[in-house]
Amino acid sequence: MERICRFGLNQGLSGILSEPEKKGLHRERPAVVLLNAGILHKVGPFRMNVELARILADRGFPVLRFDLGGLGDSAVRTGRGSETDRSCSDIESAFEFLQSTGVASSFVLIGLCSGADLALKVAGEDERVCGAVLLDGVAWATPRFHLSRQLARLGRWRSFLERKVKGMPEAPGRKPVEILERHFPQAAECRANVQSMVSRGVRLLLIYSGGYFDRYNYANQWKGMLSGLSLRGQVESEYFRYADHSYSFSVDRRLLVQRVGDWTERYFKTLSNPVQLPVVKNRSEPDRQPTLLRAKV
Amino acid sequence: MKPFHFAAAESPIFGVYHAPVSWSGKARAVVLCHSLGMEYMRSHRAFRQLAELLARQGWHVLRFDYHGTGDSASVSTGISLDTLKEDIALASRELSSISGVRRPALIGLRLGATLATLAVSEGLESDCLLLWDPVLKGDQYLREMEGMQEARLRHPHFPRKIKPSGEALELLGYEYSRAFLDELQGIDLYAVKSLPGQRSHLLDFEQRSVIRRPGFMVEEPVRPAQSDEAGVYGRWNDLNSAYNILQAGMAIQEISRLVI
Repeated sequence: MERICRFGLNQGLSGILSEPEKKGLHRERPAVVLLNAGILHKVGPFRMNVELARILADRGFPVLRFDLGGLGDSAVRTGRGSETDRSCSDIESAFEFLQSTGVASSFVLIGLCSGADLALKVAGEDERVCGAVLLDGVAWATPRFHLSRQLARLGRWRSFLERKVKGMPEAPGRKPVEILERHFPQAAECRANVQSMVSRGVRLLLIYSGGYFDRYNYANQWKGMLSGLSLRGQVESEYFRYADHSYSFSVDRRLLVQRVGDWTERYFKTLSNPVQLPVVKNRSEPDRQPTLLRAKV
Repeated sequence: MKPFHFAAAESPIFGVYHAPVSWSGKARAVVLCHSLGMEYMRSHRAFRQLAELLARQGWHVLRFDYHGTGDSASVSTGISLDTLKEDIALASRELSSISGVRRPALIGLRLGATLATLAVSEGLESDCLLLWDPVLKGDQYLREMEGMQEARLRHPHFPRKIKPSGEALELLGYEYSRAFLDELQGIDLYAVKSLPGQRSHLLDFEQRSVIRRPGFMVEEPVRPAQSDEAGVYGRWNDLNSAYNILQAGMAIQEISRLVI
């Protein structure tokens, strides 16, 4: 079952809450919050967020997909601070909406590209977050990354020469597709953030695609990136080598949705120690309650 | 801007209603009809901008997602020409009941324009029909989509082999039933001989070399004056543009001028 919901300043943020059929049985479960990928609306690239929301709701989790201010069907925000700060504030509003309406008191964030960057930042700062799935999120080079890249360049030269000899047309450039310009924190800062989250009990699923080759180019790169940290088995990774950055083939999306669904179900179906936090009022709009729109305008 | 569900509760359609910001005289209403697949994804933002501009000009505006697309219920393999046309009719009735306008105008982009034309030709009442880069011949449209799909599969750095699964076929990231693609194949707007009782505009920003204009259109297509604004042209059959968000500021201005 899906309901439209509005929350945040002047009810300007808009989303859709997918709820399990037997929601009363799953009160202790975290809600999953799906974030925008770049400037695409909440449906996500190739309807990925809708597929994820419906699969996860079928598996018993409440799922909110919503548009950050100014994107999709949410109002343009007016306010101070950086774009990132305002986006984080919007995510906080989503948490407060889900808490105040009794849907959940802890959250799993899922984001692709710039959505992954936001998910990582919020997960590091907000103790209500118990898990995050980062799709083509932050990554930094390891020695093997550089080696793999050099080998790939050799391969491209070979391909180029073969095409020349055979008189074949030149291959198009191999440029990564990015939806927004991204600013990554330093590796040391990310490592400290991950360690802090793991110490707090947060679980992370780091998923990388082949389309992200300029930052991540072999399956176990994440182990090199996070070497020396005490991860306690709380960090997992998956490398979809043949998928592009936006999972434009349905076969890739099916694998992705399956992996995310399995991970979420394995670790959050029954929280051994569910987070119990007091209901926090929406700071930006203390006197108005969020609304669930069940009927027509 | 009010998002809401309409149509049957067990299979709702997601819509967003934009109330008129200004009010002058007779109420006016318009339904915006999306295209499908990649074209939907690219143009969602442009549709919001168009809806906001029209609302500022005093229109009641409804944009919506067909069943099996966007935030509406169902899956893309359940789409048929009949479900799409029926969804346009449902949206038109919904907006009519909200606004009190008996025959809302229809603005459609690409396949959305084609579907709106077919819906009107089959009896849906509308005061004004505006077709933005419409798909005029289904067979040509499918050839172009399949060509882009083939190019995508043969990408030199990310080649893929996708086996068709059962009755569903994938076109640029979205799966459709074979039956629906057969229906698309048969679309021919030139065969639509009359559209009773409304103004019709056709905006073909790309001036494609193929036949551009069916005979029933009553006004000349209008182009923005020698614009080279990036993104005015959808380049709908260009794989390199297929992943770009449509920046259609000028097209939107032109459309809002025409429907007044």
